[in-house]
Amino acid sequence: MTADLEARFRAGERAALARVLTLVENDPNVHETWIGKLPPIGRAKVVGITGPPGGGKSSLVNRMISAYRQRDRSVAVLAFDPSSRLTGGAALGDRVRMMETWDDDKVYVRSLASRGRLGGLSDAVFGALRVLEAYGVDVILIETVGVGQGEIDIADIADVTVLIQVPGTGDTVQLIKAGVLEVADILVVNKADLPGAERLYRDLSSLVHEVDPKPGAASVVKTSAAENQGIDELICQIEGRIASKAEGMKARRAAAELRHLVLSRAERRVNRQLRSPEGVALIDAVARGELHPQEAIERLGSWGS
Amino acid sequence: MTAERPPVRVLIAKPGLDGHDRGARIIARVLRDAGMEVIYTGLFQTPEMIVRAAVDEDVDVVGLSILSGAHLTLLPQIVEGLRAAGRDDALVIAGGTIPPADAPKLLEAGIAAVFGPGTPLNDIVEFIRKNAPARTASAP
Repeated sequence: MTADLEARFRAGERAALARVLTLVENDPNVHETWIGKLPPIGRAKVVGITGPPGGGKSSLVNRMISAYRQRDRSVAVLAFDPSSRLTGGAALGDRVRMMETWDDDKVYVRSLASRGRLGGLSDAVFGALRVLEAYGVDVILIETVGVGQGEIDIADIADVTVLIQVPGTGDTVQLIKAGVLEVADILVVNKADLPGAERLYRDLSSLVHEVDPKPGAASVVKTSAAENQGIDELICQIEGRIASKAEGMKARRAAAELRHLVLSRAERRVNRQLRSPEGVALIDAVARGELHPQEAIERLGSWGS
Repeated sequence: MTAERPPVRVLIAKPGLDGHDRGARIIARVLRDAGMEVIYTGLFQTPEMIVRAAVDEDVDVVGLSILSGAHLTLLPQIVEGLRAAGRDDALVIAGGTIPPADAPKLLEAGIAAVFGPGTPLNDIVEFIRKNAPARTASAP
């Protein structure tokens, strides 16, 4: 079946692409198959799109898909939503807003759950990029909820990181606090048709120049996904950034992948330890105040893997 | 390495011209709370749109919610479309206002189960758990 799946994938069959991505998500040993031999991204460009829930990310992505199609590029979207920590379940609803090009064979949209990883992206993202490159996709849009430090992840993976802001959601101090200005290449004021957009645009523009007056500072773009405004300007800015930033991205992405792998392996080990009888006993002791947490983690470390 | 069973992936879709989707949303939430990954398509989907979403998302289960009375027309088209796209392994189930007399026709057309109004939500969860195609954690 592996050989059959590979042949169908190489022949460009959508169902095969979708199944390969499922294997990347589910199979811890996928790297031992042909899928593990796919080369890293070289030709395809990766655009990260992040911002608060309700910021209009999916609607903007919908417009961006159409804009890239007008430029005759094939597009894939990896739309991430959080998994429940409690049940592991997830509601993936981004696709609803990306129906404009639903019957276009050069557009592929995949919803992914974060599956418990910090930063809103799952471990599968790195493998998924290699698969989409091999499938021949030109532009890969990664959409992920960003509400804080999580955005750092996407900036290590994408060639360009777009941070969406909307009027009426607090002031620009939030941006300084979270430290996201350093990682965003482009700040988008979406829902520019709403009151307060002009003010937010001015605030962000002046903030960018206060924080980072160098050339290469983040640019600020106004868009309205609802009214299809500003999308071409956004795509132009993205293209410009890609041209100026391409160097070094491969190494940065590889480093991010290695760090991700190490951390997720460590996390699995720690979770296993904490669920074991010894782990439960340690947790009890810390909760009762009989053991300092620092001492507890040292004992955890001494169990090895 | 101890691999847990990966979450079941379910597409919840609304074929046809139904005016509301409360039932579909409730099912989506119940399945999510049962640990599944649920993709929701929204209202007014044609059979072709639903097949495309099921293929792209590589779901294990397609849940169709329909209230309009067009189930005998639309649902078999979706089963046929999945077959043509190479996804006849997907478990297709239906719910909504489907008269019990129509259920046998739908089962014959390849719908695995028909859940009428008043079905205990847990029955649906259990049916999916029992019948969703096995996705082993190992590459085929």
